[in-house]
Amino acid sequence: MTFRSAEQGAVMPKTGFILLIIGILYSLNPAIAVDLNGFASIGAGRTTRSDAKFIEYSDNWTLRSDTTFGVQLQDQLTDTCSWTAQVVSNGFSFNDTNDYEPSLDWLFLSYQHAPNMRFRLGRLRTPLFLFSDSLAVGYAHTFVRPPISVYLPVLEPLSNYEGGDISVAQDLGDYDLELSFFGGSMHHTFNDFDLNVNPIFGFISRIRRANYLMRYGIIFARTDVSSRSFTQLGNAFSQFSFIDPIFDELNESHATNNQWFRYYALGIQWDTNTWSVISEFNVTQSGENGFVNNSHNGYIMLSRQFDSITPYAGISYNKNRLGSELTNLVLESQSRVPIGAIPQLDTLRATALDLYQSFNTSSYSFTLGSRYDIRPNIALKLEVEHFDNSALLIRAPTQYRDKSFTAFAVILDMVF
Amino acid sequence: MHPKPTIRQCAFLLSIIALALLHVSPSWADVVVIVNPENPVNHLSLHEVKTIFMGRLRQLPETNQIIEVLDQAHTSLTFKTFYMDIIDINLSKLARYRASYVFSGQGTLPTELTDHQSIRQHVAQHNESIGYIDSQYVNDTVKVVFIWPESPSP
Repeated sequence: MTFRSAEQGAVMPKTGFILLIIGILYSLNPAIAVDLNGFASIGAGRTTRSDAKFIEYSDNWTLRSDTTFGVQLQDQLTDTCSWTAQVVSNGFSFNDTNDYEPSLDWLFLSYQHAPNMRFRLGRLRTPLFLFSDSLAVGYAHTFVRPPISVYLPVLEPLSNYEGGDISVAQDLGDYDLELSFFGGSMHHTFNDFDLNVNPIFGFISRIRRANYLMRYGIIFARTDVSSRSFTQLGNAFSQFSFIDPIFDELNESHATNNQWFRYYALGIQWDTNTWSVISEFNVTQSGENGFVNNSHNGYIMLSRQFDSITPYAGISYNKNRLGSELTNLVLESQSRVPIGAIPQLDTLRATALDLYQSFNTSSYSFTLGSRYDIRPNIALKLEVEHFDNSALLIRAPTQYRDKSFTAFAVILDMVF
Repeated sequence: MHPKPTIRQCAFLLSIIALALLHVSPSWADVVVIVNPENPVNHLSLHEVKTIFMGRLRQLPETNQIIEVLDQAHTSLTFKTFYMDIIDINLSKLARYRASYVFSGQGTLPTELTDHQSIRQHVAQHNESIGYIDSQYVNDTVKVVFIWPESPSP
């Protein structure tokens, strides 16, 4: 069996470096006593439409999309140093791994410098969300999945980075404060997109008091994005550059180079032994130039536990807008080379404007579900999520985008 | 009309209640958190106990020593009392929290031992260990650093 990193190609050099460090530490202290834990989700799901692919659901029940297996190895090497590795196999994922192909989600060395200070180095989870760290572990959550309006499937390939973080905890009487600073890089491919993020860095703060938790994070990422389809579109425009240099400019604007993305995340959780309210709001800003997106999204989920049964409900929204430069350039080109002058150019501009418009989306979803704790380590969940708009899921002409649809899921989650 | 209860009937009823209270008295025993007598920590606050047993404090205060946290058997009454009454989390949420904790690489789960005596013995033999037992099982091989219910402040 071969393990792949979540990224393109073979295991990354930094991951190899971590494996080497672990090997050296074991050679110094051969008393191996590794903790082995695992988790699994076995699920079935479907939607009410066949033309809006939702994590590969269709209008027929499928077992593949929500099925996940994971194994974690963990060992305390010394009083202050430990390592953790987690391998996950997904029935379906948005990154470039094949179905059920094991991928290395976590691999890091942890060093506890003081009771309130910890360093980690290796492959880590990008702290985008409140539940980033345990996203693959269905059992850890009340719901089948966090609302996809916020936990966007297209962000899944960005869920890991290679680098390090430092966490500092401070006891402030009734409050617990934790600050984490992280930095690293990532390279991923999915569909026809190629993303290179270097560097990515930021800080996350968590304040906890009794039943309340508030999390706030700011992340900066210098990003290169290229897409075969966008490159082809840009090349098509460049064929008309002999008429006007604006078409060269259009060609260059179909890629993202050295663009800084800023990401702000706020999460709030109120959790008693019966009631729970969870809410998150995220904002992504990346300016207007090139193939860039600006978005904001949020959700609120309410649950109530009745012994072993926990019904829940939630509402979420997502608004996304493509940077205005591309649309403005096409409209500007129409003033320089009027519509009707070159029929092929008219077709190209109409196709491009429709494609740009497909990224300007607004959608809501509503979730109803229930969790049943069958045993202390096994839970059964039923969930229905209704979307007022399929824009998040498909990049299709306008006439298809505004159709609503509903997704159903039945999942058995377990840990062992 | 119902006849009024006699003094003898009242006494009988009270004695039944007293016997019932005596029968459940073991669950009212104090729960104490214990460490090794060599451990320099002499007292832990309720807040510190919560952060230690929820895995958010990985080293003991003042010592910088990694903590080995011990749990009672998960089916035991002491385990349920400790987490539901002292840590203030129901067992279903505790299981979810621990899944999230372990699989996000935060640390390892407490070591589960079978009963009060085995926890006391383990703590007596390991400087870094911390556990909880009923107060009636305390002896001079361990040091009590927290008592539940907490005594009111003077």
